[in-house]
Amino acid sequence: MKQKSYIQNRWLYRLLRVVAGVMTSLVGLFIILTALTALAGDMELLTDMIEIESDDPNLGLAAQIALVVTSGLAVLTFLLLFRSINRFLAHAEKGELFLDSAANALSRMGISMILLYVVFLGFDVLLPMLIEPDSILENSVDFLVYLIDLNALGLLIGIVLLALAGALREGRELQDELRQIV
Amino acid sequence: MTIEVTLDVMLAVRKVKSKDLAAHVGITDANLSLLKSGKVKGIRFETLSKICEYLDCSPGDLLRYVPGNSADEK
Repeated sequence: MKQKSYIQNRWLYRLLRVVAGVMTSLVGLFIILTALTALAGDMELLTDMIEIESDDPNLGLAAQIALVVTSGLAVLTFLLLFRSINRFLAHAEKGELFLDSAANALSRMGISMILLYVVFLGFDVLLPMLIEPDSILENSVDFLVYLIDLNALGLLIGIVLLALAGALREGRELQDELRQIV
Repeated sequence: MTIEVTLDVMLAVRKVKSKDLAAHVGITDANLSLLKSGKVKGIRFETLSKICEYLDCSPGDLLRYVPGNSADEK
């Protein structure tokens, strides 16, 4: 198969890899900074990020644990997302997509997109619920909307990527079989 | 495999070198060697046609059905 035809522009792939690295690093660092400052008592970044309106939010033990777990999961997810994007684009750059490594990278990308949805649920629903329990009753409809908002698109994309990774594996197997036909 | 490749027999009968046949068919010596030893999963009609043309024979002279071996394969 002429996999070279996939290669449009090597520099475009390289640029995308750099952009992915910079973006995921910035988001990861911002989340770490937000979590650390919130745990240290400065809630400004956290209230901006999770969009709560309280002037003096209370970060109880449960909220602290939830913040650490959600932030940790977020950082790991962005790390996984960057690694998988980087690996997949490196294969795409060489025109070698029918490889187990490329399929695995696509799978990991799908998993990280699904994890990203969970992370956003943590930041958009869980943390506000723990920090401002009173607002749950007032804004219960808004919280429900968070489950089906744009972040849910990430969940769907994640599932589609997992299916595509399966298709890529099948393609690799077919290519192997094709090589054995003279 | 239930299909046995008898290409090597035809090559001997026609006194043709593998290298010449590979060059005519347009496949590598390594692939022709794999074909002769039956270590391939299939053969394209185009390849079969060129081999038949060069050796002046029919597909039946190159392939033979051996019954009862498919179970061993699995």
